[in-house]
Amino acid sequence: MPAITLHPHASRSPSRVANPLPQLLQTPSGLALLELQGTINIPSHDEASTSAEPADSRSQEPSVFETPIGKLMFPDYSPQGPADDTTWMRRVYLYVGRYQRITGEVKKLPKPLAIVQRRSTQVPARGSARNDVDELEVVEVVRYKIYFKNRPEPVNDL
Amino acid sequence: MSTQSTPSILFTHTAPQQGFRLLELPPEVADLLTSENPPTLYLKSPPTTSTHLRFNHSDDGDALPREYVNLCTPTHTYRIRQVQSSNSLHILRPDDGIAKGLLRSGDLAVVDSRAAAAVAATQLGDGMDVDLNLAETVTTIAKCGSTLELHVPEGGFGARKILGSLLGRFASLGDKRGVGGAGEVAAADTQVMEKVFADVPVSRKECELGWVEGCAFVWRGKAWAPTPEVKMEVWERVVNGAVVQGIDLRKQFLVADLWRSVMLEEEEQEGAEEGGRFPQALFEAVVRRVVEVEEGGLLLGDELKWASLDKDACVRWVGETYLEAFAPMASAAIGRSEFLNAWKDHLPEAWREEVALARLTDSVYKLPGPTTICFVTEFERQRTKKNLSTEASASTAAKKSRNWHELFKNQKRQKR
Repeated sequence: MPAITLHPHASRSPSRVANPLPQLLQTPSGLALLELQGTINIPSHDEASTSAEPADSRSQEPSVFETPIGKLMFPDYSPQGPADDTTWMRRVYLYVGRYQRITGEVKKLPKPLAIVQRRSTQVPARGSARNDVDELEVVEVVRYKIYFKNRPEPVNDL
Repeated sequence: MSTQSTPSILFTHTAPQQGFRLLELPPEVADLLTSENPPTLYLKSPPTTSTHLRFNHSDDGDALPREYVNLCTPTHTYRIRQVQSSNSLHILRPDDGIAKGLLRSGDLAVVDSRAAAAVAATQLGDGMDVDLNLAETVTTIAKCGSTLELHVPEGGFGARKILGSLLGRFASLGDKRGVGGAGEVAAADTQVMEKVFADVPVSRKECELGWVEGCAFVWRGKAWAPTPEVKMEVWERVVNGAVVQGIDLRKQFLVADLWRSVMLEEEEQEGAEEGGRFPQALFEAVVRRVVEVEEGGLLLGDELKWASLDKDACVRWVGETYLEAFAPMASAAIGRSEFLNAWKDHLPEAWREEVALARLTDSVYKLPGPTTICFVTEFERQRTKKNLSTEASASTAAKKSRNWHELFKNQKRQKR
């Protein structure tokens, strides 16, 4: 069995978008983790899009949908606060829609997690025989997560 | 409300989602990956198809999982295990969906009251710009229902067994196998070795260690491992050759000189026809096994030039290999004094006094009778170790832990 390569860095640097998360949760790639008990149900665009578009749509830029879920809030966090102040970590709100809120916290992971991705090959399609050799890459090593273990509670509209 | 003053971050879901896996890192791997020059890691699987089936078969109860993937750093190996979670882990990315026009303020009505008000106002024909204070967005781009964990199996990775199965058994110095394959283009020796390593699912360092320990070598385009008898035979010639040519094995010597002396001695003995010589690669493999290696230095790759023997390792290796060759099991045990004398005879003259049973690794030999000694194979060693550890640890673990799985596991075992 040929070994599968796991590169320690991402091949592409991520696009630079201002990171609104607290400093502690910011990573070079911008990626962060959010753990939730249960799932977020998203009205599926997939059915509409797959039936509407022909099969060869893969060659085109895939259509991207963004669905608003709610708002994320760190009520006790202040960017001006001292860096070693961790009290803000104890409270995070996630509003889902306008009338539900989940309370959570920021936790240090017991062990860091590597976010691993299949490396996109620079030379696609042509000579497809080469493509069956997969290469993976570590996009980021994350040490904290936003963790919601409680159930949502009803709240007044903001 | 206090929360009003803190900025809120718009949280969205992006479709299509991307494929990510989360890999839990032991501290040392995390440090490695976040170091200045992180090495490339490899995922390796055991050889598939026929060889693999044979493994499971001969394993009898060793319970090697059929399919597995190991993560290999340059020096260490970890087994990967997928752990499902009922929680969902979302991977977030900062986003500028609004700026890109993927989100319109009208879409935000579901999450924000001011946006809702603005939408209502627009419908009334009362066009107004809303400052939503929601310019900052994070979006979930992937959801992971499981993580990959790394662990080191108790019984090791069985690398030596897999490596052994990939090598041909070189059982006699007069071996003519492979001679007929003249039509084959012999691949470069290193390529042959690399091909073998690719099938051994452990780190490079551990592969090389196993290779050197087993005195493996490449000869005529194939990888071989000599039997203990062959190793002893080669070693004997090395020692004799050194004596005849006056090479002092206790000091640094030129490996090429030693090889020449071995060849000279051989010619005298059998009038050497060209094809009957034993491979130089085998000679080098045996020498490499007992030379001093600098700490952290690579074991393989560079040619041996100047070398000096590692006295302790050499004495131990000669004793253990002799035992393995001539008293491989309890029924073939040999007399202890006979063994000690033979051991002495196989060492350079000056090291004769070094010989003592305490020199051997403890688990490698046993004393079946009052005056006899024999070798303990690795398979037997594994088995006794396993028996000991399971009985002792299972009961204590079950007592200590309140884990149901532990408790029931033990009960099941007792029933059997």
